[in-house]
Amino acid sequence: MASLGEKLRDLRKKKGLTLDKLAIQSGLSKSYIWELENRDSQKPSAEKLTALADVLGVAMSYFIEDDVRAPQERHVDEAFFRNYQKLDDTSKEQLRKILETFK
Amino acid sequence: MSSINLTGPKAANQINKLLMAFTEAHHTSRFPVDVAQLAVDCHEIFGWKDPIAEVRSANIPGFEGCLFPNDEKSKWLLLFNEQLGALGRVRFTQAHELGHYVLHRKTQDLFQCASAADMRNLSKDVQNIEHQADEFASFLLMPLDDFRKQLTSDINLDLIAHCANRYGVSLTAAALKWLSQTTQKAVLIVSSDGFINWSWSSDTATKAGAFFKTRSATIEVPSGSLAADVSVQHERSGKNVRMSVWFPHADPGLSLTEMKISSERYGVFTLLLLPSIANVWPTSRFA
Repeated sequence: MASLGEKLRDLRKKKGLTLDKLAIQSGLSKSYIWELENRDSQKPSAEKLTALADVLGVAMSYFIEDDVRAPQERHVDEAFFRNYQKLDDTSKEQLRKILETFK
Repeated sequence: MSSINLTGPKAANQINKLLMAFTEAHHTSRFPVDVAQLAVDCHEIFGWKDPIAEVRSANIPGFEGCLFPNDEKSKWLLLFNEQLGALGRVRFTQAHELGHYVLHRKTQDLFQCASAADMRNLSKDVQNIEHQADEFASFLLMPLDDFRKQLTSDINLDLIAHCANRYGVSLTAAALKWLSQTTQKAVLIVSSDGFINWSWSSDTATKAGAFFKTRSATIEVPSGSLAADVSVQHERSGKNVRMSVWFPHADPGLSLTEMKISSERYGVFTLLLLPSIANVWPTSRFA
């Protein structure tokens, strides 16, 4: 599933909004929205996400529903450092299945 | 051959010598390098007993590539996402994972590679390993001697595109290669929606103060630049732009050459060429 940044950018483009327009309509700064779309280090408040969700016509929960879940216990998970933990569960499962067949 | 103290460029050059001899003997084409085939043959080049037994695509969303051993570590699997982008990007990912095999497989069990966005959050050690694998990939796919032979005119984006095409890599990879070996003051900038995603400067440009710290700040593309001008889609040979547009502390009388290629998918790709006398550090208040 897509990250917050990807969801936000896709929705904005679908609505045909520029960063400028979304910034004006949501009351957030243009550079802040760009950071949300392009940097995954941002942790926006519920208030800000609600402002964006309102303009983009989605429920705020759309942005947060597949947040990072608890790490899994399998040893493969530990061996996978870095962005493995960032893959969603479906992708992890797909990858794990492929690796398990390699004996 | 020993793997002790192999650096990315050294290891890549060893492989390249063999590839050159092989392609000359068999009259096959030298470029682009067939990385998947090379990965499977690589253990023979170095006389290693744990081959990459298989190179396979795994088109999983969010995944780039990984190198994975079996339980006995007697063989390795190189996985890559072939839907990651254009062919050049995929080839570079394969070469990067091969770099982990050649350089790092004895030190870490599994290499799965992060996206550019994740790189910012990695620890120094991991970044170092990633950098070495990238360097290996760059030297494997674009050997320096052959690369320099391609530079038959002043640099422009057509020439970079020619190199990207010859080596089967992305425009970005070819531009970074050029930047890594040039003595010119030059800066590559990739931007989207009016802000800089990331940027890379040649050594001489960095020393002259011409760089952008995109990790610590969000930097807007300056108005007055070609990059900010949406009416210009491409400018491959370059236009003169006042240097102070990009660098506020530059001599107001000086210009730089700005080149541009833009696309819906990859955003705006900009190359700045500064005059050799350029110095854009702020003037010291104590001078």
